[in-house]
Amino acid sequence: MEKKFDMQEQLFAQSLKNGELHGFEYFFWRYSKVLFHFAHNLLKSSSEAEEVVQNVFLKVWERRSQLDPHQPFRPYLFTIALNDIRKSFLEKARQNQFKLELYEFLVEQAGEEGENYNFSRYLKLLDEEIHRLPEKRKEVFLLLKKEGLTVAETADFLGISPKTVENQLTQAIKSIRNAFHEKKVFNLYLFSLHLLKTSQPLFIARKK
Amino acid sequence: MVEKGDRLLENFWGDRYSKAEYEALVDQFKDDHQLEKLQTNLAKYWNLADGSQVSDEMYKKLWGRIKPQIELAEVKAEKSRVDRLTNTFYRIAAILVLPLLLSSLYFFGAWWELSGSETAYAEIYCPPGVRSRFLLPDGTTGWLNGDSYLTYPVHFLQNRSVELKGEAYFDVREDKRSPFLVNAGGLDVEVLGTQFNVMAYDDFHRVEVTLDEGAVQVRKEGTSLNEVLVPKEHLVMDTRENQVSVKTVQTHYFTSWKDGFLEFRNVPLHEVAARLGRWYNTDIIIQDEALKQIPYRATFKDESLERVLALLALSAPINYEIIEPKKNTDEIYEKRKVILSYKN
Repeated sequence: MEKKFDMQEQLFAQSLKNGELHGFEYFFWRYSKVLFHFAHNLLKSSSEAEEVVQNVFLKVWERRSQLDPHQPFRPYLFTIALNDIRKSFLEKARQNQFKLELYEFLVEQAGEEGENYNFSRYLKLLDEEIHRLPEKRKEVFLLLKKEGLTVAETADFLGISPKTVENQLTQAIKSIRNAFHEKKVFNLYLFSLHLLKTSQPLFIARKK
Repeated sequence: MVEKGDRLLENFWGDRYSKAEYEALVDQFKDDHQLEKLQTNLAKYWNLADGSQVSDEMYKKLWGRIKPQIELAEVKAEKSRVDRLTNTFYRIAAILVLPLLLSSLYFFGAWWELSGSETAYAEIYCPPGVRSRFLLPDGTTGWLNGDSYLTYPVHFLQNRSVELKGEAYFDVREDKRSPFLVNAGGLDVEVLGTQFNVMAYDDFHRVEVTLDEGAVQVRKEGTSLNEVLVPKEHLVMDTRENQVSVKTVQTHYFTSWKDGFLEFRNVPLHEVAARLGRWYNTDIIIQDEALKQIPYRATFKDESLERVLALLALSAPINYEIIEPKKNTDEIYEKRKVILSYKN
């Protein structure tokens, strides 16, 4: 099967190199889903994975004259894609920075030590909760936390009093905390962790 | 021993990671000195990614976004002749036309393969929801129906044989010295120069050969089957019972799919559902056993699935429900579904 496909691929690679649209379409058809899947698993977002597919395949088209039809396409696509995905991944990490800080704050507030919780679940639920906040509250929250403005700057920017800004932030964090409590974001692991921690000494104690 | 970087990636890939692991992975992505190692680790996942989870709707969205940009880039670059021809062709085409193999490309490929002694094959695939024109190296043309494969040896001029899975209409270039052979679902159809249709979708458990013009000879290896068909004859072989029947038909009922028609004449509903499913790239599920055998007649041309279903419900005792694809947990779309049930 692979052998058959490779043959077909070389024909279309030459066609792409010649600048024919159907050559491009063939590779897009065969590999755009693969690239989307790969990018999605690293960026954890559909829209960012879409962006990667667009950028990478535009580069494939722009660099078509450099294409070597005798070389397999898949590894070639990977080298182009890696650069783009790396850039998006780091940009995303920059945007996630405030979520990491908030995480520590929330874990501490829950009275726990925060290393072993499922961080991907936290990120996902946090995005959902932020999305669910009332419009104004969400705006205040993101300006303060994500954009890093001060309370005074946020108040100026939105034309509301600093008191209101503080209020909105308190409410936002409160609703996120409550939702997390309800969904046992931290407690679920806690249970099993405590079991692990306590079972050993108990056992020894009984032995004595 | 699993390397540390690899473990990080594995956990991240599978959505099971701690904050510390995430931070460590970000550091790896940042560090230019570790780029090579990161590339090696990521390559493993790249090779495993298959994209089969990604929906066709997402594919259409992606293609719909990039196609105009490519065309724009193309016009901007140079107004080269071939490109513009292709471009115009794409605009005129009423339906999405996929791989159209050009003979010049074939010669390139064949020349390259001469060094190897193995027989190499080329394969043309047409996904569900699409029909595709094809051109073989000998000048034979035709149409490939949705969800069909056509495989042929690259040394095609010395060995005019193709293997078909699914459905295709052939317009075979005449060459008295070299017969043209189609293998489909275990049947061999040998032709000199002619126009005919072969239907061999696995799930229908039969192969149909419909002859428009010329003559074909149908054989099956290991059996005494040897039927010569004349124009307007239609051969059906039941692949489970190994039974063959031949009758004279109005051939367009079996071949007009290539012109965009869907024609049903006393076709049981379960088969109508299977054909519509391929045509519109949708899973059509019949809920009531009793409905499956109801014979159905209709002709459709360029109708939306919604309209086809509405018409279907008018002439058969059915209700239908369209379930739009929803994102599953990976934010990836599923296939659209239709459920047919008995109307009380």
